[in-house]
Amino acid sequence: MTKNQITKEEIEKLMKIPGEIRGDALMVLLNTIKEKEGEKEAELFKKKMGELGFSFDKIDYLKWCPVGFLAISLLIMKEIFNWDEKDFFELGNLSFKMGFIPRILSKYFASVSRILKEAPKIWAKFHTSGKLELYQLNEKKKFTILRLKEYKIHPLVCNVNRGAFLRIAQYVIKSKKITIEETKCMFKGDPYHEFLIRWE
Amino acid sequence: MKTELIFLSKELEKTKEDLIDLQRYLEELSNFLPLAVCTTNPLEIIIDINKAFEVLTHYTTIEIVGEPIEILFLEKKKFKEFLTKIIKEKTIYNTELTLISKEKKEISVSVSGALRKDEKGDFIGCFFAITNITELKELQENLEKKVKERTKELEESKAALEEAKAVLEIKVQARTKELRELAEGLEVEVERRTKEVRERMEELEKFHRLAVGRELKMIELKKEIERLKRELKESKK
Repeated sequence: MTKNQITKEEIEKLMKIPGEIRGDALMVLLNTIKEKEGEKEAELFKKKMGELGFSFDKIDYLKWCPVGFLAISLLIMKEIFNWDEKDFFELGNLSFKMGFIPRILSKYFASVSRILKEAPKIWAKFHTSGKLELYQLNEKKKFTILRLKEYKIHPLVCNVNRGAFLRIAQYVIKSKKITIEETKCMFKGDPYHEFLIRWE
Repeated sequence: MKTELIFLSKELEKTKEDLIDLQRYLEELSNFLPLAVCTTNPLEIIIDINKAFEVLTHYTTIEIVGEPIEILFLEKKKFKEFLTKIIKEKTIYNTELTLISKEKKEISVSVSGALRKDEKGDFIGCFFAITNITELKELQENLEKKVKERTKELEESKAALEEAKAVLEIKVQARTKELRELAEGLEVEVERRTKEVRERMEELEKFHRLAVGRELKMIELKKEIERLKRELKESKK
């Protein structure tokens, strides 16, 4: 058994986590792997997932899939590609450039206030668990705080979400210097995940 | 109540299927479209592209989505003015620009832009359609070059013709003068020769008259001689 190899117990535990995610969110992960690592590596990932009983061929963009599928996908990526936090962060950031989701959300990318105020609605379009809230937005001081509640899947998912939230900020804030930090994490004992986004 | 729930559930399922079919159709259409298309948000950041766009620019989705659209064009100011016009006048406009591909190759393109609005009528970005007009422009430039060359050739020919015409006119004038002088000379010669001939004719007529007179005289003399011979003969008898 290799260092990062996922266990059967882990898979069963993850699949029991309540909640679902849109198929498109999983499909874009596959497409992002293709872009980031290459066609061969993407096929290897698909094959490995298939061996565990998770087929990407059966996923449809708008259909719901168990949220555990997401966590298992990330763990398999870690196993095959030996990715670290930075890679998963980049995965989240790049994947939000692809797929059907940005097209559906494009009307919200009009301004920072619009997208952040609509954040709960947007989150609910793609997740059946968790609640994303805009805790604070200060355009003058150039920062915003998002809170993600009732969403404890896997620490790797936090890195992906961090990357995705940064990408959304990059769509609506015209600045070369935008940063994101997870200031609170449920895996560190906090009651929710909190993300602080700053820009110059 | 239960029947209503079952009915709603079935309706929801049908709607989901319709949405999936619609999404698939849109995806296929986007991939099929031979025209390069991209979508931007109000901050002019590219949020979506199609397959033809990747082929034209050589940028992949991951490379270009999230970037400001102006990086694609050489004439930044002209593009900005074009965008302002679309937003201000809320109509589709067209302009010619130079696209810079991923490899920094410059490509002549025609760009059409249109405003995007949400259900409330708020501005949410633009659609851009980009067409490679390199071949068309090259054809146009070649045509213009050929027209220029032919015009120059025609002008040079015209100048040469005019020069030749001037030279011919001078030659014609000279020859006309020569001919006139020759004609005048010939007239004088003809007059002289006519006079000569007249004089010779007069001389010949005179000689003829003399000759005829002599002949008549000689006939007379011959007749006299015959008469005298006859008289002599008679006298001898």
